[in-house]
Amino acid sequence: MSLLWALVPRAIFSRSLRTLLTIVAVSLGIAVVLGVQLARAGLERQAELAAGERAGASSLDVRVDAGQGLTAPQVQALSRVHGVEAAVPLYEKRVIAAPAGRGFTGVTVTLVSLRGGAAALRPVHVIAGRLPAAGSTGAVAIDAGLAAALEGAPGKQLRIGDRIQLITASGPDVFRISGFTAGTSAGPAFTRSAVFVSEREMTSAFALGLRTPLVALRVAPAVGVATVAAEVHHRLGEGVAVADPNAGVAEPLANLQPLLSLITVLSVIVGAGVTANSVILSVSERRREIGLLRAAGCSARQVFRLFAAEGVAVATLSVPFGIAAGIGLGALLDARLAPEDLGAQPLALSAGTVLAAVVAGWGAAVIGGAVPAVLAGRTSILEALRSRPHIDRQRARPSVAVAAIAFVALAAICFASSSDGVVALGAVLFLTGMAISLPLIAPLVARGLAFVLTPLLPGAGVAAARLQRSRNRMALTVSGLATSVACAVGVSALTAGALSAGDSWVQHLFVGDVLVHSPVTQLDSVARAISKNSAVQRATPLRVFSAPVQGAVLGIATIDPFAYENSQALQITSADRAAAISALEDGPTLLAPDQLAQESGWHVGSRVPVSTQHGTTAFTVVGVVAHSYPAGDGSESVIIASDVARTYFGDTAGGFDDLEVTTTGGVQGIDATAASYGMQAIPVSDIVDATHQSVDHSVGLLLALAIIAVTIAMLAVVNTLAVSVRAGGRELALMRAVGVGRRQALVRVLTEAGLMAATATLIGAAAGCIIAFPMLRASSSPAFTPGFVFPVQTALALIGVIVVGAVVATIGPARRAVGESVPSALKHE
Amino acid sequence: MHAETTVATAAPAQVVVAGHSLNKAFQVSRPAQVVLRDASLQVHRGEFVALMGPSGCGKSTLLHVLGGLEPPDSGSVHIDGVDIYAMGDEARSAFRRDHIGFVFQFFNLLPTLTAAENIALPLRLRNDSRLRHRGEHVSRQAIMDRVGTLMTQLNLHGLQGHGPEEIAGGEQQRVAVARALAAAPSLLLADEPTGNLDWVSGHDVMALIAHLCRDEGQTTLLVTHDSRVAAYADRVLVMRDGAIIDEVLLAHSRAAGDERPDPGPLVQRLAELHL
Repeated sequence: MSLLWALVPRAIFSRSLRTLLTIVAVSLGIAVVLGVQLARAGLERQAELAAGERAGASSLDVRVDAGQGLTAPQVQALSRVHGVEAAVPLYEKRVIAAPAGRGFTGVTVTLVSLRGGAAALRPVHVIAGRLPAAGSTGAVAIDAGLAAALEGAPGKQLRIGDRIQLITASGPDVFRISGFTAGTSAGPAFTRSAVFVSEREMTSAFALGLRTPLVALRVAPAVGVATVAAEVHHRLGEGVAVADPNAGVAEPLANLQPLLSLITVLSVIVGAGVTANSVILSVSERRREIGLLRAAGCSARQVFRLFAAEGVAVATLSVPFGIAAGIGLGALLDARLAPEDLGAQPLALSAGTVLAAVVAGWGAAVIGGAVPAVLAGRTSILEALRSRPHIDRQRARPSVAVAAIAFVALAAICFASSSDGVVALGAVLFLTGMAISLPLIAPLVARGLAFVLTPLLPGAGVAAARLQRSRNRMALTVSGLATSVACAVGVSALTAGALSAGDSWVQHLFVGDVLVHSPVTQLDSVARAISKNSAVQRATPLRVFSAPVQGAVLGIATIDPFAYENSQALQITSADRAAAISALEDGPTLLAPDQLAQESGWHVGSRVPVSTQHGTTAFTVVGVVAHSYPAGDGSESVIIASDVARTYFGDTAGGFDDLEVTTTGGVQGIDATAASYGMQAIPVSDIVDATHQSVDHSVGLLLALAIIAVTIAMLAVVNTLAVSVRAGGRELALMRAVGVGRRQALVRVLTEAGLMAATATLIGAAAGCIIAFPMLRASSSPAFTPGFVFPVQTALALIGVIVVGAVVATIGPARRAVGESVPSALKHE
Repeated sequence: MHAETTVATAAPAQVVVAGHSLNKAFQVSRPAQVVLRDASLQVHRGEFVALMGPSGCGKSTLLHVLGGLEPPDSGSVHIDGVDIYAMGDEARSAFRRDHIGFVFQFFNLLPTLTAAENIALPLRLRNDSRLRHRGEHVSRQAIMDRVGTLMTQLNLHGLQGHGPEEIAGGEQQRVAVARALAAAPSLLLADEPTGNLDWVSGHDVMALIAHLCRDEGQTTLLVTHDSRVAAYADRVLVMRDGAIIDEVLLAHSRAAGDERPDPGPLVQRLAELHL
């Protein structure tokens, strides 16, 4: 066995605690990279599955929302388009449904036809029973949510085999329930709150007034979808809208990507820093050993190899733990971030993902260990052979200030950008500048803290002076900690700002304090019935449907403008609010959500072609709103007045999906009334909470990762504190020899540890606040303007945990150091 | 300015180490601290030379310069006729490994290696080095044999598997001497090898070194400030303020064996030099 391999394991295991802490740090670095990659891969897979579920086997959707939709000849024409393997129409009809024997009152439901167990080539998920067989009559499958709204009597749920009545123009027809279905957040809108019947049933019993809003085309693999779309327009004209349902798969976490990358990279770098710190401590402790080896003929290269091999060995030992922790973290993030109703997907674990994470974490740690190993090789032999190291009072070099200023200046340039990625790069540069400047600013902050703390801790001034004397070492020790605290505080500030903006968004969307939500479109008579409730001051209906707007199918929300005239609901950002609301009543006009307006190039005065039952009508944009109501696919709807909608869309715009209610006594007063119509009364404050939860889910991920980075950095601090206390044993003995008591000496050591940790945390918190401003600005838009909110709880928690952690980590070695007998500690080596 | 106290028995012929006009200054303060001033010396094969002088006179620095640990600001050092500062660091390290053995005052042994492993260190370093010639690889058996021979020769029986913290100070220094001799170096350099030992242990170590010089022909240069230790040497070079100011030749009888040499004449000469 070579000498190297004899020395490395012994050096590692003779310092087992430090080795363990370093392994934990590097493992966490690998785990963060792997965990984030796995979570991203998992979420991307879920997004693909969701997109697949939304699209089903359809390659191209042809839509005509207005009137009766596509005609039979048009459907025939579509089936003859070159490259189309199948053209499956979706027959749809709105009818009133009620439990059998209930009479003529009930809820409005959408009847959807099935062909081959699918609706317009989209699979329908059966959760109990079965779908109506092809060609069957008298059987229906209903959505589980709708079943709750249709329950026969309070507490009596519908079951398979029960009968419901569907009221058509010819009177009530009774159908047997063959199964229950479940729409998911990923599915097409018609898979939710629908009643499914066979195509035969649809085209016979329900033929009167049947609409065909959609024909799904399955296109042969060799034929391009764009070619087919062009052919469809050529045959049917521009009055039909075509959309590729597989296009535009949303990339999960796309908005968070720059920050996610920033914190992932930070974790790897801090992990590498811990390895560097560990090897530096090893080099420092084994200085004399280096001298002996060099005197015995060991070359600088061999010394480098010895210490570099130590870093490689520790990094390699970390790999299995890092992989295991990364898989756990990935599973945790996946479970937390994935939509609940889509079900857990197996982790997208691949050799490439694991290898990339290992190479990043392991490689960074090896590089981190190699730097001090190079310095070990270059150690002056005479300096290494000294009985005690030559300690100069450390001074901050002017070049440090110049470099720090240069980094901060570059960061300022990046902060001026509106791109998330460039601002994240600016944050990296700023944090680098902060880390470089620590030898200058950390002693000043420590002095300031000591000045404040001296009445409580008389030794704080001495501790600050000692830290100032070893400013470079202190800076090296706490740089990772300050940087990761900065990230944690920055992300917390971003969260707080986003939550605050989220509150504002929701509060500016609804009129009233309660939202009554219906799983199906309800009749206007139901709205009038609820308005008569004594607890209701005002009830404003909201109806959301879809229609082709400028060639794309968009959600259209209809509101009563009068209800909005005297409220603060709807943040109109573009023009005079009163004028815009007033113009909405005059129609054909619309309010456009900000994001859609920006994407489409719309502004006040733009004329937008909308397919209505009268053909294509130009609607004028009379205002831009910060946010609008969500459409079925989650995007924001354009807003038009309900009277105008009824004029241009007929029955399609009739009824309501939600009621915005102003109550006298909150949700309790109307809960029972809403439930009697199968609806749910939700306090607006609950919607605010749901918004909080949504923000927490995404930004909370960043905060969790930042806290992992803080943990990794703390390992370096603990490592260094333990070694410095041990190395300072002789100094403590000298102090005790001149009369300092054991307790005094212990307090002195602990004060120094606490002061160093507090200094790093304060600097980090301040830097976090500074980087939060550009991050908030970059993430804001006219529609979303999060303001700066200092994350008091996070900052206090970090300071508390880090200072207490540093002091607790120091207690053990400090007690041992002050417990040693003075003659023993003073004994020369 | 040579003060010959006693005539030496025989003058060794072959020069092992030759330092010529060595100057060295350290930039620890302004003006720079000069520690070697035009120091020149020669040590012949089999000779046992001691460097003496007060603290800070430059004797340890001279030893380090002669051993290839610290390059001089000017002047040259030849060992076995090779100018060691004409080489690069790696070549000089390899030369040091094969031609020079060091013994220091304290912390002489690697704490993670056993006594036997410490002794084998130079040979294992040679095997690890890329600067070894074909056929220079020392087999595991040869290393074990060499370590066994040295441990027997230096009376270190039974300490093979013991770590440095498990053996006494005098034994540690004997292990250090054994390690210094493992590669059969031309020159043994010892820096205050008894400075950390009691007088009895110190005598054991010095008697061993004296024996190696006189009976095995081991060329040795030793630094000490203790005239009782220097009295074991054949020749004492006296330093002050970075310069060699005097040379004292001492005669030793082979029949004296392990007896402690009389430092009297040396002490007297040092007194004359006001040291």
